[in-house]
Amino acid sequence: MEFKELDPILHAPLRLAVISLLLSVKEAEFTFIKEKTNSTAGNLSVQISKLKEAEYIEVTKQFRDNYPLTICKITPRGVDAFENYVKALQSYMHPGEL
Amino acid sequence: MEETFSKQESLKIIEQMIKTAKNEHREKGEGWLLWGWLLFIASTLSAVLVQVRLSGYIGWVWTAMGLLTFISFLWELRAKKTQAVKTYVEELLEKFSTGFLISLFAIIAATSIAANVNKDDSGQSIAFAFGYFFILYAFWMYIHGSAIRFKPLIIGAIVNWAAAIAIFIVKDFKYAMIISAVAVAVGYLIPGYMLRNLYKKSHKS
Repeated sequence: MEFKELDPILHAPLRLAVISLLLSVKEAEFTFIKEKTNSTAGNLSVQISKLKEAEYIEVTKQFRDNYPLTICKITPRGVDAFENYVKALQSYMHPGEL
Repeated sequence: MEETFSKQESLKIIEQMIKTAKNEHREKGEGWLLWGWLLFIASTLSAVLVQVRLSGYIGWVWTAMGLLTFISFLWELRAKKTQAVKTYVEELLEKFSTGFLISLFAIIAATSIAANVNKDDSGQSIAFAFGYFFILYAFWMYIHGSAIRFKPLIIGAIVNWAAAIAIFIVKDFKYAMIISAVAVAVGYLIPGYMLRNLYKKSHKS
């Protein structure tokens, strides 16, 4: 019976929530992610930085009506990492099937 | 320190977030209502003007309609820019929307040319143009309704295709306008109000 290792970058509640959210949309603003994940701005900033360092997401900073705007978008590498994470989870849930 | 969590919790988070994103692209129906009312008023007013023998003013009605459409398009573009999230479906529909408007203006330009060439037949040329508009509207509604999985828009599309055929059969401008008003009510206004109610309900809960 083989258990795949869970990606430590994704195996954290808030980072997993951010990646799952971004997987379903083309792009989302920081405020949207904050609202949907029920997180604090500080914690979310830290987790977004970690996902960005791992190149799982792209972060763009813009200005709208003189207000700063942070837009996040999942990268192909992030999509691959998410798929592998789900496969690894399945290996725990249904051992022997994979 | 990192917060640890179980595999079941991981799956729950994934499921919750995907569900959240899925609900997010629910439309407010405003665009359909705005377009619907503009078209409905213009069509009804045109039929009334023909009836009371004031056909000369019909051009003004549709010029105003064209201007308001252009303003509403700019307003919608601005509203889209301020959205906090953009889905893949929305991006595709935006491209369709632009293509739809370009095709619409191409038909308007072609009709104006045809009406000027055949001056005796200008009423019929314009009535025919409405038939082409409705084929285009129906196509747009069908794609949009299928993309957001909203049956009333698909039914609206079928009604608009039927309206197009009816306009080609009746040929008369006044009846074309009456058919237009009915098709717009079924194709735009009813789905628009239904979308708005669904949006309100989903954002209450």
